[in-house]
Amino acid sequence: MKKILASACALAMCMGVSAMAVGCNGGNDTKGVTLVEVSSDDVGRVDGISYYVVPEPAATAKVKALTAAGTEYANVASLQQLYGEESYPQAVLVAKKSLIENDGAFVNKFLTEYAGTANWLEAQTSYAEIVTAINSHGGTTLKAPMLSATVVKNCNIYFKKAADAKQGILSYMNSVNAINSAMFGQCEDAFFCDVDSISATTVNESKTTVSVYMPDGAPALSMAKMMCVSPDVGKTLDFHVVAANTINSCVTYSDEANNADLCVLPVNAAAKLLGNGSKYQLLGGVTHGNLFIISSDGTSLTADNLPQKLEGKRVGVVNLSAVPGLTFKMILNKYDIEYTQGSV
Amino acid sequence: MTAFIKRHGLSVAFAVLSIAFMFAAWAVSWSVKPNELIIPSIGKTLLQFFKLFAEGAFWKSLGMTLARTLMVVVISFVIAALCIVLGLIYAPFKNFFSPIIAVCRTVPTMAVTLIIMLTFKVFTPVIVTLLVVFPMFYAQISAAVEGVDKELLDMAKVYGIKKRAVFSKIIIPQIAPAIVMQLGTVLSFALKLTISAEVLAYAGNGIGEMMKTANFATQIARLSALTLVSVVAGLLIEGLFFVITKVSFRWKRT
Repeated sequence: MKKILASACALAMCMGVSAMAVGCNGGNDTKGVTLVEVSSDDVGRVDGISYYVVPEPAATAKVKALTAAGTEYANVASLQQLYGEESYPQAVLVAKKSLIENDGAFVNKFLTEYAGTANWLEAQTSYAEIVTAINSHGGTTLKAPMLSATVVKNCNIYFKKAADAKQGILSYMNSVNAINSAMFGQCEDAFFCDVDSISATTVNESKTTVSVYMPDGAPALSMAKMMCVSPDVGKTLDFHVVAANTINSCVTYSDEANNADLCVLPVNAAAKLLGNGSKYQLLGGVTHGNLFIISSDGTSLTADNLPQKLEGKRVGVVNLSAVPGLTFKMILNKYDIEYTQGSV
Repeated sequence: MTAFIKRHGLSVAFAVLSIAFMFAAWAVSWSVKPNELIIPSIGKTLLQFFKLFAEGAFWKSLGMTLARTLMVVVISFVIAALCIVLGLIYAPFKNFFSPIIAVCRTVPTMAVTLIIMLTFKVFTPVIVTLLVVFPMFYAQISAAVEGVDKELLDMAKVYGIKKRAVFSKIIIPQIAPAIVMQLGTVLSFALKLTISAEVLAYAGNGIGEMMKTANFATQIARLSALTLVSVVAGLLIEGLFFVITKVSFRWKRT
């Protein structure tokens, strides 16, 4: 028994030491950029990280908070601008195919009102009513002090019809798939709805309420006008603001009756889950690139200086494994900047 | 075989029934409001489960997670044993360690995760798990030591047996069965904690990291399969130590 125990202890110690040696290898930094995953709470608090990739409205909130705490931070780049091409969509609006086919009149009225969201948001001077409206439908992350004209503008909220957004979506999809093919999947032509040819005369009298689901945060702002103004679209709109990590499940119930009629989804989830166009169709893009780089180094990052400024630096990315991280990697690839993943 | 069935048949039958019950509960939950992104089906999960074993990255991640778990259990055990021994040698040390153990046991790890991440970097899952496992070991070893037959210790004193011999020939054999019996449970628990810590702490490499990636990629069946892997691994560890205990401590039953 002694020998068994002694051998087991020795083996355990050896494995432990080996594991430590392997583990120590996990944090090596190499040349190029080192990408580090951080949580939203960690932004600005981790030594050795020169830049952070953060989505709005958190980006502006963080800049304010960190500057007030004594470290001057600034918004030094927009991933949208560095991307350079046609805007990359971040969230899209999808609708049940049955709704489009049987209730075209409603869909047309809805989109007519919805298309005015960008101008309506721009005209707002106070955001308390917007936040109250969003939070009354389940939202928790948006607070009125977080919002300003600049923040709302940075959220890049405007409706772009599916036909106009299609090329941008497919281009973005191909770029992201080249990095990680599991994130996007493929979407077919049938997924993109020709919004202009939706019949304005089909009416489903039996359906009086239409459910509208959206993730909390910037995508919920895209429905702010519809919530606050309550335009007459011929039906009652039942809004649901849900936690971002649960929005995907709102369109995947086997029983269609449990699924959202209209849903704002991350573009990759929409393409991956609904891309064959059999149950849902994409009406258009609703938010377009709200990722920003913030830093205590006040120099702006541009297409000209990006490789030099990032060389040898550590960049903290909120949600590195998800779309923000993939988008940033896509931009690094565009500028031929090598990168590795490291740890905090 | 017949003797085995007669002796253990009912126990095995109930165990199998329990597993069947859990699978049935899973199937019923899935069928109430079928949604693959909330509760994936058993079929898709099992398909993903077996697919995992063909992936090299999976074995590397599993190895890393198991290595981290083993490291934390070994470190926790050694530190706990040292603290107990110091307390035995000089009684006031026990009072010194008690508040430290209490703090380790009660501190909410989420509150200190950033400090741990910045200080210990890739060892974060180890440290986070250690904060939970170390007090468990301390309590177990302490209880086992308290359970040592006092008459045997008195006898050793009377006969002037050296402390080293008392320790190795009386105390260790008395406490070993209790500790080894619990080791499987502690290892299994530490595995669960390590995986959770890997998800929270962005440790890189490990089953937790695979789970996070699967979640972000809405591969919920894969996430479910990885969860099943951790459950099976935990059960195998407990089963292994059950066998070790039965084989190693037959003398205890006579």
